[in-house]
Amino acid sequence: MKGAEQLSLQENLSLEFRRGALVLAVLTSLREEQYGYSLKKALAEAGLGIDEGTLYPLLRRLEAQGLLRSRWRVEDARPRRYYRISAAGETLARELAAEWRGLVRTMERVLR
Amino acid sequence: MTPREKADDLIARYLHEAGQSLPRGQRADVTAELRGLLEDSLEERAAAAGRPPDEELAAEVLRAFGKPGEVAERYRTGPRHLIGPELFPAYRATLKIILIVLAILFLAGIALSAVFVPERIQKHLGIITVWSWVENYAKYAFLNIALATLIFAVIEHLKFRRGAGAAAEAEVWNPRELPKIEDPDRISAAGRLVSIYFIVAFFVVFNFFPQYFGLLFFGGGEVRAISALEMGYRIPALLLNLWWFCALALNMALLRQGRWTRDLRWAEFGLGLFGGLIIYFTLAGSDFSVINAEWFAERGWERAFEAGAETQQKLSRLGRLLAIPLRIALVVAVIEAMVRLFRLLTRYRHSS
Repeated sequence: MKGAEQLSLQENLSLEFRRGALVLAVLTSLREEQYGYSLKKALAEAGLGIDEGTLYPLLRRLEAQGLLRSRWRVEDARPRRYYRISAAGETLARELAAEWRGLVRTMERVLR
Repeated sequence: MTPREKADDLIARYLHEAGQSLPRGQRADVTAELRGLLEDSLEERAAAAGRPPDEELAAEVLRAFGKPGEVAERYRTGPRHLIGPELFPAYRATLKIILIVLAILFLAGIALSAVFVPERIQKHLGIITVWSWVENYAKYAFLNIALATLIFAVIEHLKFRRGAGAAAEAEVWNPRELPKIEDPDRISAAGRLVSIYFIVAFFVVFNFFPQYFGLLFFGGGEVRAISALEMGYRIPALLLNLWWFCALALNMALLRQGRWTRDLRWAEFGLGLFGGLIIYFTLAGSDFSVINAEWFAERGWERAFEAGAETQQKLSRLGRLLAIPLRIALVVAVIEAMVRLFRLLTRYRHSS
């Protein structure tokens, strides 16, 4: 029982890590225009597998916060919503990237 | 139905179900996007399985997406509560006050019945009467709680709609502007919300249930009301409604500002004077001589005042008694106005 609890705690904490990193990964990946499914695949190929239920609503939220822009495009006879980073998103992504690198350096020192 | 059509049908049912849980404004856009995403997933899964899309593959895709309600929930923006954590303490305080005030009113009503119609209470006194009191109390408590909930929900909704502006304000928050510990201009949000509740509640009763705007009697399993109008009070309805509207606006402005300012104190002073004027008009226009022996007889209370010379004396005393609350209210209004004026002239002297 304790083992299961430990596992679930670990899962939750890992999820927190990934959630924090996800926004930065999404913003950076969307320097090139992509739609939800292609972005999911690109992130998975880069090693950041994320479930659909988390990724797609996140795109909407980032758009509502003005960090992404979107437009509908018809491709292969299928309408798709394409997302791209906005100017405000770009500024934030740069700041977050610097923060991330600083945090990695700090954590490396702490974990040594 | 071909396997492909079955798969499409399953996706259509899923989208319809998810759409039901989405706000109307978002529904078409989100479901259109979800459809594209689901179809892409389905095709990729079919390619991996080496067979054309079918119902089973569609079910796998949908399972991976999650239950329709959960998916819709993740897309939703905005609060998912009627009354948020910020307003909840005030809401709870309001409910407590409502229940206490109602209990006091009920006990007063029972006491009035015991004085004016003791025979009815004596006749029915027993478990049924007590139960009827409890039942009436529960009914009125329920109505008032429902009204309070509605008012708080509206305030919560309005608060959310100006949420974006509030977030921007939060970014430039200045700790130096924190109120002093002993700050006479600090307002209690709970207090203001309770005031708003009572203003609305009185407004509703006065305008829509005028027959209950007065004294309530509880006895013998029934509620008997004697309205202020019946007792001879002549309240200038238009002015009183205007006063309630101004009082509501003042409380809303206070909630928005978060503290008293000089302008709001002046508004409070003006409102007090206006209230005093309404009381004066009511006092001047009311005619308590309508309460005579016939008035009691019409209500089946002839026994409360036996015929005789003493009766007229008692009735004229009753008329004077009915004017007393108004006279007291007028004196309080005048004193309050003077205190407010003094405070305005001394405290805000330097801030002009």
